[in-house]
Amino acid sequence: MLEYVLRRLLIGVPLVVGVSIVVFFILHLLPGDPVAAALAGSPATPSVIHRLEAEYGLNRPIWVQYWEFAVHALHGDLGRSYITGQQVTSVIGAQLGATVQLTVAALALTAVIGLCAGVLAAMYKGGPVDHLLRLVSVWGSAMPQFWTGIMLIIVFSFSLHWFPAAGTGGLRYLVLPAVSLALVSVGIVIKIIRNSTLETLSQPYIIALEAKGLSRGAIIVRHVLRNALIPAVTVLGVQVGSLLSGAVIVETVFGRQGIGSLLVQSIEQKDYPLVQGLILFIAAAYVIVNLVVDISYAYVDPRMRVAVDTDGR
Amino acid sequence: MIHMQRSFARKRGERAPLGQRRAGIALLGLLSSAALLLAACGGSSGSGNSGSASGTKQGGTLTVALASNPDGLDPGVIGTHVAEEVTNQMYAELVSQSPSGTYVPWLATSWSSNANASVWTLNLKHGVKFQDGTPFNAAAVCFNFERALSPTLQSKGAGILLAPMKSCTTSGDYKVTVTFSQGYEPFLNALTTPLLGMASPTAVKKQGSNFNVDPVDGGSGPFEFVKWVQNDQIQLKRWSGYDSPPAGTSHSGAAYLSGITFDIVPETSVRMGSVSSNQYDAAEDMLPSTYTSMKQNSALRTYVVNEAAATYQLAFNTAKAPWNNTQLRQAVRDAIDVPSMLGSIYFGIEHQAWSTIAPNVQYYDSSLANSWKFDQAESNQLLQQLGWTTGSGGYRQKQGTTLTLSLVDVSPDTNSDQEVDTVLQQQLKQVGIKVTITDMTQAQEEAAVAQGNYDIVGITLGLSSPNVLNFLFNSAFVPSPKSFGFDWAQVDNAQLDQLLAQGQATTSDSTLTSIYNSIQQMIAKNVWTIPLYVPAYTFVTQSSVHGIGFEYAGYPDFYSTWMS
Repeated sequence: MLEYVLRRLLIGVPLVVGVSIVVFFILHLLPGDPVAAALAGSPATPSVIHRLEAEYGLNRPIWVQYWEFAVHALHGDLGRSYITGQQVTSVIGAQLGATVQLTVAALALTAVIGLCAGVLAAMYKGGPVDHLLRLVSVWGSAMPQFWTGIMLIIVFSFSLHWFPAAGTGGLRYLVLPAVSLALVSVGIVIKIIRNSTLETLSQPYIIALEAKGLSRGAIIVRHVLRNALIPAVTVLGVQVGSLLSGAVIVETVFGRQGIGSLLVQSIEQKDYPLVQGLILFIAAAYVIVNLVVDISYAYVDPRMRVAVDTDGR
Repeated sequence: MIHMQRSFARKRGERAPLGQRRAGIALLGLLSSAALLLAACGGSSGSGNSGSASGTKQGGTLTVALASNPDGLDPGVIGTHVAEEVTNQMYAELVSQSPSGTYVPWLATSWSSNANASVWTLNLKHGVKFQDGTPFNAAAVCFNFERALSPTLQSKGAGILLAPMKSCTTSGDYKVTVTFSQGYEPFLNALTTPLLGMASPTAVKKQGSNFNVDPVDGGSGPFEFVKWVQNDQIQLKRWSGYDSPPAGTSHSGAAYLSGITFDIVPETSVRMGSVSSNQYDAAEDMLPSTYTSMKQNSALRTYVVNEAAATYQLAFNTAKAPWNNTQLRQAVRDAIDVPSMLGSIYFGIEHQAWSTIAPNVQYYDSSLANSWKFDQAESNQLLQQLGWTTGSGGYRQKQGTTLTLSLVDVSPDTNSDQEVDTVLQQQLKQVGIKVTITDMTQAQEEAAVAQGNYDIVGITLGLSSPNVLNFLFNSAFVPSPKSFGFDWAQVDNAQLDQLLAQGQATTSDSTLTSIYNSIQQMIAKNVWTIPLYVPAYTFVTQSSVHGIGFEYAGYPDFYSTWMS
């Protein structure tokens, strides 16, 4: 198991490096000058511009710029933001918590609601509960998040005054954004869990268990749910990715801090160091999350445990 | 063949077996508990609208929703309008400008210059302190000016305003002499902007490069910095030691409010709805379509402040055929129905502009008002005369080329510019001109402009001095891949350059009036740009918020604000 984990981590390193190279060169090759972007709205004389270009190191060859970035990154220094002058690591660190909060909350909602609703829909297949939940599933996965976000704000904040419309803070500030973010994933998870539950229910051993005299409730809790969890783990792992990208929209609509809206802002402002740092961070996060998902397979599905231990793959 | 699902499939009307029902109820219970838990986390949302209990004017924290995140809080570094809105409360300036444009003493009691405005002398107010107790004096002023020009500071605003400065010398504690490499009349106006707000040298040195995000104790204005949570919130609190408002202010001493909290809420509908539902005391940047209903809402107060700045204008790429032809540009101007465009997009917030600078900017030429009008017939006639005849598809052609105007703009949209583009496209189609619209990021737009890949582009500059025309029309600022500048109309006119230079090198009121009148009329005659509207800053507050002031350039000023 340990060997498996280490091998996966080792493969992750060239992946992250590759991503950082691609992003670096794309950023520099795209039209637009970060100095002009930083000066946006302020008239500047050529001498001011040349000075800023030298400060940012933009007048050196591109591979030299990348090499310097890589060397500094290995020492934990991701450079300074062109816009505020702050250290990139501290900018990301300050905003990361809010995104983690949001993503974890949305993931928890997705897991609980998606799982329960998916199993319920399968159990009562063909009935009104099933139809309702499938409707919710389609609707949730189809509606754009900026629309559902604003609708939630209008109903639960402006009209009912239950939650604040914008801002980052405690639990109260988290509810509407987490629901808005989770809706798409919930829709997808309900559908997948419903299908996998139905498939499980059609297995011969279920009939065998009934014949043995096990109650319906015990069958569902002890056998069906465990098997339904396996695709759930895959789905949730993939959903982390889409939750992170959805966070960009949700953070903007709800005026929340976070690395999603920070990434969009820094791309628009051509704040190279900040974009590089964020992409590096997000790529690393993906690698780790995928690894965790794969490892958790082994605990959820005993068949995987054997496979992992015997040939380390 | 056994149907494996028989146990769980039910015929209509048949109840589920007991065990299944129990499991189902358990799952439903789990779902409902989750929902209840979410609901319990809610509750009535508080508002920052807390006036003092005894009903006096003192106290309360004003909560303001801003549309974007400032790029810093160090006046020497910042370049964005939103940053200036916040620093305007934290730092005092040397001179103030009243809404009518008159210069009023603030931390400088008087000033003078030599004949060609290349040497300025400032006399400073005695007995003023910074928020950390450091005395305000001539050395502090020169410190602030010199640091803006230092290469390590990466100044995006102050450094540009002070670019021609050669030296700053002190004579005793209260006299400063600033020498420029050329005549620089705009210096006086520059002194009134938040970009030249006075920061405490002690605090700046202590914080070093962190001062831009953590300017603790560094201010000189009515409010002091408490905390900045990036992308989320900026907190200021009243500074009890403030006692130097601009001359003529109705009260002195500390501000009434005990604090201000600025929240960043980028989504306009959420920002506006939050004020309507009493979650914020104030918010900036209204949606034009909600202006009328907000104006009529007696629980709210709306403010529309015409900014003293360059007007929003469409700049032609006059270096590129066929738009290097003055009459062709005039034909375009005649084909635009500006009042109907503004009415349908801005609902009365933005007013038509007749010059390249707003009416409240000094030396505005009011004779330009109504100097042209919407005249489709005239436009068609001109186009016909120039040889552009109506071709297939309804667009005019000449020697096989369709008359095309390629417009570049920035996405995401600011101030409904994209709607202006769409209306322009429709209106010009009526006279057979094809407008192609390409939306791109700001950085891409600047690259396109630098390479000349455009025929027309919208532009405005937020400088309140008539010297803004220098940045917009001086040939030294023609954009190119090697040098970024704001002369997006690509104007290269020696006579204009000379007039602009003369406008910087004198302080005589009558001379300046005649110079700037000539400049504005030359620009209008040549139709290098088409002015569309005067930019307006919009602000909405609860009706319990009183005493909001607005600077000449359009920034809110909360020194005299109080909440009932």
